Amino acid sequence: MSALRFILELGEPGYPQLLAETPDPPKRLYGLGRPSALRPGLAIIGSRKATPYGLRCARQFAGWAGSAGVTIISGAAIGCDSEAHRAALGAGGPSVAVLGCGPDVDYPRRSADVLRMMRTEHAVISELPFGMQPTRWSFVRRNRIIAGLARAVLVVEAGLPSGTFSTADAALDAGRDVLAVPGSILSAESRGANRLIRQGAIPVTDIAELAITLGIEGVLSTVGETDPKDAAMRALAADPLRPDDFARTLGIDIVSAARTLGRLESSGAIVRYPDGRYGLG
Amino acid sequence: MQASITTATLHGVDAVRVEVQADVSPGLPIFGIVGLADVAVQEARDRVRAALRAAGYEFPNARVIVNLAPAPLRKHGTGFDLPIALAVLCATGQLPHKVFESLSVVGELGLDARVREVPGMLAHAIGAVSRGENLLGPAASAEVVAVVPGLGFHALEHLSVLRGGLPAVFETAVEPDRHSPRPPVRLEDVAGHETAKRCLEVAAAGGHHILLTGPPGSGKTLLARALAGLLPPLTDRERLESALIYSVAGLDPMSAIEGIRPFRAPHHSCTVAGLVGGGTPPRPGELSLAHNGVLFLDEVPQFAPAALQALRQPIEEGVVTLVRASGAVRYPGKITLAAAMNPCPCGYDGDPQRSCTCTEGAVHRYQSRIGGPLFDRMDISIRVDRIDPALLLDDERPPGVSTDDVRERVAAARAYAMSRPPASLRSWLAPAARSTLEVAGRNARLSGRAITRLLRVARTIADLECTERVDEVHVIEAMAYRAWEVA
Repeated sequence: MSALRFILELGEPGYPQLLAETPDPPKRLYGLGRPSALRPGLAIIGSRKATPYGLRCARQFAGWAGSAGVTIISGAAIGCDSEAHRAALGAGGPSVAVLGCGPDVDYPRRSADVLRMMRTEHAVISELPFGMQPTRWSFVRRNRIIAGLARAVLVVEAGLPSGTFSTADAALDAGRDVLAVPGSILSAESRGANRLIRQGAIPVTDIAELAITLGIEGVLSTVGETDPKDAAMRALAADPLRPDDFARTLGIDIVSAARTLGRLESSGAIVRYPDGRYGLG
Repeated sequence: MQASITTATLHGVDAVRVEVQADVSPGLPIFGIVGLADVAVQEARDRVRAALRAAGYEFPNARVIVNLAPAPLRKHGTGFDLPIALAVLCATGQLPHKVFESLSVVGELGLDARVREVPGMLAHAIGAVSRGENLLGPAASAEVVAVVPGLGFHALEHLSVLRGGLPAVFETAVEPDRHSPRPPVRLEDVAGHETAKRCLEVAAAGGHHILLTGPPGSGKTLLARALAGLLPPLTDRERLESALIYSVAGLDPMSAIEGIRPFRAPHHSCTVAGLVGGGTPPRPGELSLAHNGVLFLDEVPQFAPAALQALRQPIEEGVVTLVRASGAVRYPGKITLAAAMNPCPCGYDGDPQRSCTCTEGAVHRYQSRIGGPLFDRMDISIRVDRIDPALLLDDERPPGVSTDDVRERVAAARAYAMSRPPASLRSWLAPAARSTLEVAGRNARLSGRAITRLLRVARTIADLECTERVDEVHVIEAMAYRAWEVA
């Protein structure tokens, strides 16, 4: 069960080629797991305070890329990062976590289970030595490693201000593509991703586009779209709604609204957001 | 010469019989009280001495020893003044001892020999009835103790009155009015929030615990206060139970006697003892004062964690047992818990218009302050968001539900629930409802308690429609009001 430790020195064999070519590569990489897992891949990053939309995007893109054999690189943070790792592992794909602390330190604590899986089967790396506790600045520094290991960086969801911007900047410095999933213009949690697109990031709206960007052929599935069956689903697809607003939009009484929402939720068609609104999951 | 008078001391909400024995014998003039009496009882010596003189009696110039039996029982309070005075008067032959046989005596004495009220008069009254005794006590308590059925109460204004014999049994002609409180907040005063109002209706009908979460100023407190106006008046039995606790706590029990359901809203600086009871001598806490009514905890994460966690067991059992070195005391506490909180320290997590400035960890810590187990006990959890200013200011806004209408529906639902034959919750479930609940329980990994609570809410929703069967729609609506999981 105990994971293998490894140390890679810049300029020696085994050090990831792509990372070595970046403007400011770490002199030394400390890692747990298999050094061979450090292949060029797709970085998927996003907000820690992710909405169900962000989590769903992370899940779908990471799941698909994972099943296509693309290594998913991320930072194991709660929210979009760990969702991407989980989806990649779930799809049987390789995944690499880059930490802002020693690679053997479980941080954040809630990602301990994914980290454990990656340490045995894939790789968890850091430029900080074993046992180092995280510091505030170490996360910003590690973002350049995430960007450096990847061929492209996909931002699935970002508000404003957002830590994902430093990764995107690092990706541009290293000459990597920055991709972003557009979000609702009404959602505060999507402002960062939408701004990245305005600044020149490549918008990714389905898997085919992502495949083209990554240069992968033979795409089968597409992002699941909801079939707008009825008025209720149409209303919720446009924008997440509170029960009161849902009732008003559909012109029904509050009890029927609660029951309609409850039925859709229990069937899995919609989800309840932590803020009490209902929307597509 | 000796004489003894029957009285009682409070233990929880019970009055435990105590015999006050006085022995007056020749010797050095002293006045001693023995029998585990606390400071208030010891001070009775000075009050009794002065009161006897003020009422025109004579305090014996002899050795006076008063014993409170049973001696090992701890006695507290000023209600011993009157029985001690009577025991001394009987022992010295100034009053006929026979008059006070098979009579329970309670009351505090002023230096002017007026008989004053003591906390727990209702407990003393109930205790006297159960022992088959009449009660002699302060005249000021006559109205209150009149609610105890079968009580013969001799109302005593002043100690000197006894010279003319025992006052006649107090007769009250007027049955206290029974009415619902004039609610401080009516549902129609609150704009929007129709889903939250429906949740209040369900909570009021079934006595379900409800949690309101939302940003500052969104109307959580207003809604919770409106809950008070939706509750039907207390039943006869509840009336006496609630009044008894108020009486024991030394508060005015008249509102409970009038049938108004308690609505207690302690500030969040409340201590454990303040919330669930405690202290020496033990006093009921806010939980027990809210018995048969609503305990409203505003800004619930600001309460001391120890105080909140102390609520867990009483919420389940409807009674709180305080165990101290001196023994265990039980106070009832069957409550509907209403709680309100912000979603995060800054208050704006999940607010569509304003972004939250808290870190993920801070939000998690804040929400976990109330703790999973207490959270699990909330039957209904509803998000209360700021409403559209247009809706708030619109003069012609749709009226929405009114307090009077909802209160009627709540009363009908409660009456219907009482009329249902007793049967297990499960037995009411329609097959479709059962399978829906089963699937949901498995998918959301609900605890057994969570499923039971869901079932109870569904049962209440069916009661509101006066239908015997709990259908799928009822279960589904109950699930829509279920608490979201703690992150």
